[in-house]
Amino acid sequence: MAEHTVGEDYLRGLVEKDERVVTKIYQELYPKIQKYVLSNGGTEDDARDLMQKSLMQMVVRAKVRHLEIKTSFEGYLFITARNFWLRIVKKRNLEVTNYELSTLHSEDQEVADSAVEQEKWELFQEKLAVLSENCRRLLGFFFKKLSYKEIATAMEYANENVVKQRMFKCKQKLKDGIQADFRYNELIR
Amino acid sequence: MSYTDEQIMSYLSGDFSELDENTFTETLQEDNELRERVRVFREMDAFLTTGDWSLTDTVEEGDIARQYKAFLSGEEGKSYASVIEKSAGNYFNETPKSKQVFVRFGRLAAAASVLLLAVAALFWMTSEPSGAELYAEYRDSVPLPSLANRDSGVALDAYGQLMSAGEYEAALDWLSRYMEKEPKPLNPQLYLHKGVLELNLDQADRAIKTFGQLRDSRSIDADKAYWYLALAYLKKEQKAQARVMLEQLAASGSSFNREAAAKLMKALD
Repeated sequence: MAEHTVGEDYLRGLVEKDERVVTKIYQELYPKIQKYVLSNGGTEDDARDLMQKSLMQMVVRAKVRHLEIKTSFEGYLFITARNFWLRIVKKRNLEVTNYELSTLHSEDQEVADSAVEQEKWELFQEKLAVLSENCRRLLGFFFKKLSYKEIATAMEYANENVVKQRMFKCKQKLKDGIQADFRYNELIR
Repeated sequence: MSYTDEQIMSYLSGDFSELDENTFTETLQEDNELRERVRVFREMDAFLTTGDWSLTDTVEEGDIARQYKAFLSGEEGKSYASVIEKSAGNYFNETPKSKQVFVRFGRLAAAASVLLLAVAALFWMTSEPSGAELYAEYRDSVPLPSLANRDSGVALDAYGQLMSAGEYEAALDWLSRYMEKEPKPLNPQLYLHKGVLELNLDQADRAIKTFGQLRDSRSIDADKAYWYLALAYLKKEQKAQARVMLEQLAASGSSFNREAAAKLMKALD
């Protein structure tokens, strides 16, 4: 009989609607999600809502398409929840007020949209990982919002113009890789 | 005209001149291939930039999003939601204090949603929409531009942090003081952020003044002010005045939020 990791058991239990396993997931992982939300501007209610929606996002992806967890279940749920939280914060910033009113009737839409966004994010990470080490480093600094000057110093480039030129090329490679992948085209059609 | 990837990145970084930006925006409306390339670059920036995120445009949602939504709205999706909710209940039952808050919140939220939907349905069936309702429907039809500017250092970080923390009044206060101190002319996007904050904090008169400054700024974003002025007048239930603003937006030749503006104008007829 093949042995399963705890993570595989968690995912299978979730997909098989095993209340005992899902309760165990809460026991093991909810405190970490709550800690993250509370330290990033959210409330306890936000944390509970986020945990439920993140699990629903995993369910819908596993049931409708395919969900393969390449890391641990814990790591995957945490990343999913973190990205979902970024989405919520961004949406709140756009809406500024009346957030609860405007989202009360569109929870399914919110989970569906976030699932598509999570798939895109995973694809972008995958494409980023296959770029040259130099490009990964350069874009890593860029996406962490370092200034061109700081990037030039860190990468030991002559000046900011060199950073701009190389950054353009690396972003172009990344964009070409994403756009050529059928999965991206599936996600936007 | 065809654009290179480098030109797209320059456009997205805000490095285009006013004239070039206008031409680019016009081409973007007609050129699907260009739109696709811009979309990938935009999403790359938003998904991969630390602390940022790209929101799916629900108007243009694809097949997969629709399949997901159908599953979630269907019986099977609801049965999963129910199992997760029960399991959450099991977990929170072990922590009495949390349990009470959770159950109360869940029931209140459910009751509120039913009540809101019922009231909304009744209202929509029996009357034409008020200015406030139209405002609520249209206010999010266009996202605010990011104020992040790689070359301006960290000056606006404090504003971003206040917004992220939901401290909107403090964010407005900070932004107002920042705009007073900054040399003129100001980045027109600052007026947009300030006006939208004022609008959402129920300071419609102030918002009208702020958007008026944007309109008079002679910047590339000046015509956008008409859209936001229309929203502000809707909030004040001055629907006729809102309509005038939409007419001025159309007369300006601006393509900003064109579809929503036309739809809103129709709703005001």
